[in-house]
Amino acid sequence: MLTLKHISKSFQTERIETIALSNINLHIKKGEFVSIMGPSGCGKSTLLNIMGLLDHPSEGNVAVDDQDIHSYKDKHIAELRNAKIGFIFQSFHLIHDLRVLDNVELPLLYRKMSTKKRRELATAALEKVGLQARMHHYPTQLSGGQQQRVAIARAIVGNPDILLADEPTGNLDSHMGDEIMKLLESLNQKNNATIVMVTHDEEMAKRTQRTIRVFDGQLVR
Amino acid sequence: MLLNYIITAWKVFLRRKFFTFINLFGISLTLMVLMVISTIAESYFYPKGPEKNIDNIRVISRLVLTNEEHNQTNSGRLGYKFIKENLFRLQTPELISINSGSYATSIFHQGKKIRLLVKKTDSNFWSVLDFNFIQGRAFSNEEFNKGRFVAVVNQHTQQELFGETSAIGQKVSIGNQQFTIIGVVENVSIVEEVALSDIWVPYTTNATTDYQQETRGNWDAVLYHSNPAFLEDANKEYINLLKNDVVLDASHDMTEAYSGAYTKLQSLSREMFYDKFSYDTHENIFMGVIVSLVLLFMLLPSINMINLNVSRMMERSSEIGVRKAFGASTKQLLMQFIIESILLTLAGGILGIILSLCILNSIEASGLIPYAHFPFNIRVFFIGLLLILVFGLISGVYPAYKMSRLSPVTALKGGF
Repeated sequence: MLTLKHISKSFQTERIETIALSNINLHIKKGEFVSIMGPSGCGKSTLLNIMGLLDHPSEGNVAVDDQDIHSYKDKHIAELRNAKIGFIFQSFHLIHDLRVLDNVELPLLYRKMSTKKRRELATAALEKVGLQARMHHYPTQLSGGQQQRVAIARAIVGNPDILLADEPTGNLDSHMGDEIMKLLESLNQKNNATIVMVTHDEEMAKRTQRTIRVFDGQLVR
Repeated sequence: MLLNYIITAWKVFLRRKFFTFINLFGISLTLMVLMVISTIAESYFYPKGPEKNIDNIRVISRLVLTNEEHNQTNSGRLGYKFIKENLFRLQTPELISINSGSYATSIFHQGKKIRLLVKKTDSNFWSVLDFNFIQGRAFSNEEFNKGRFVAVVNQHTQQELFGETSAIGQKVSIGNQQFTIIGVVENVSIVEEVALSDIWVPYTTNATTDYQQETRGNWDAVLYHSNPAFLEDANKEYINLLKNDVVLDASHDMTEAYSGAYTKLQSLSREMFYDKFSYDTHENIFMGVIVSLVLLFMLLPSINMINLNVSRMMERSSEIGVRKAFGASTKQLLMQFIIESILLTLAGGILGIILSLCILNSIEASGLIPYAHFPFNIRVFFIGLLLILVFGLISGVYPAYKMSRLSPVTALKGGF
């Protein structure tokens, strides 16, 4: 499904070069629910960004479905992200100017699709997260947990191959966090969704099938 | 997709009313000023009245006389003698008309005193310019040659002197002379300086013939050709004549003459860059200055809008990050932001056009510019549209470009 080979990432600032990741090899199988753990600044978000094709590695290859994306242009990478990857962010990143329904529709805007079809898919995704009643609200009218559920609906609306979640419960209290976790688990079990989740929380990590630990930019066995 | 961009733009504008208001205010005000100026300039350079055949005429209204040392000059309008001895020798123009500058005079009529402009002309005047006769006719060659006391008046004069009754066949006293009115024309706007007057009479009715001895006087000459291309040749012929073959009054020291048969733009430019002892009109520099001023005038609000747009888009950096993460390409985002900014400028532009129409109407109604008429016209509309587009592009493209190129990781973190 998703393979990282010899991935390294360094950030060049004026004086020093910071190494965020070094020589990471990783394979995510279809239908897996994987968590990535590690202390702050260890490079787990950078790893997730590289897996999500948001960031380019300094060295190494990322392959999606055995397609090496090394030489792809911006337009092609954008298409790949649109078709294969769904993102869930710690701070939700909903667009406040748009209604819930329009927020969920967003990934479908970049596909050739009729307005009617977009509406249908977005409504179905909102039903899955239990928020169809709120689709004409604006994000600011919802609670944090509800906003994250909208963000999950947005991530799954395009039926991507893999969901990447960057501390999805990090901004929520434990009760709401638990709800979100249950939702992700059900998506994994019922819909066979592949999920990679970055987390700080040992409890959350235990609920996933496999935990990858990152320390100082390297995988720890 | 396009519809979606428009809907998004609409929502963004509504959610940020203050920003939208400031933006619209800036654009519409700037455009309004530019539109009003360009409409007035348009009515000056492309008159709608008797001078509507502006491309077929050139006007000679300035003559600079000087001695060899250039330490004595005598400049102003042309004298009759100069015209007769020099201008009438020109071969290129199909017609030459001469007329006195219009002068204000008091006319006493039925116990009322009315101030009106009078212009003395030849009969060619009615052929080189394209007057709209409401009633009657112009004076003929024969009437002109025989010095008949006939006059053409404008609507304003008819109204002032005779109210609702027709002026045709009525008498009007100018000075000590009585003229019979034979024609009524539409009022002439003040911007049409050559045609402008309230009453036109043959100059052959002049009480004295002193004017025939003047090298410098109070006369304008109009050169006419049915093919505009030949007018530049006429100007060259005229300048050539002035350089090599000019006939000037022998009793004066003045031996050199500077003048030219100019378009309106050239005349204006020559007035601005008054270069006495030259035939050059510098109209290219003049146009350059005008264009620079307009651009400068537009630059200020544009920079302001760039600033506003950048800071507004910075607020939306999370949106940019999200859109990129979910598959928007740089090009698609660029399109989205450009469409947003063009929509906003378009709205501001339409508002500006409406405002400028209101202003122009009130200038017309106020009588600030006598007989001025500023009709809505397609050319000014397209100038306006072009200005809007330039404005939108200047203020929208740079921020859009900058923002659309933001890396998604940076954008999601919320900034540059």
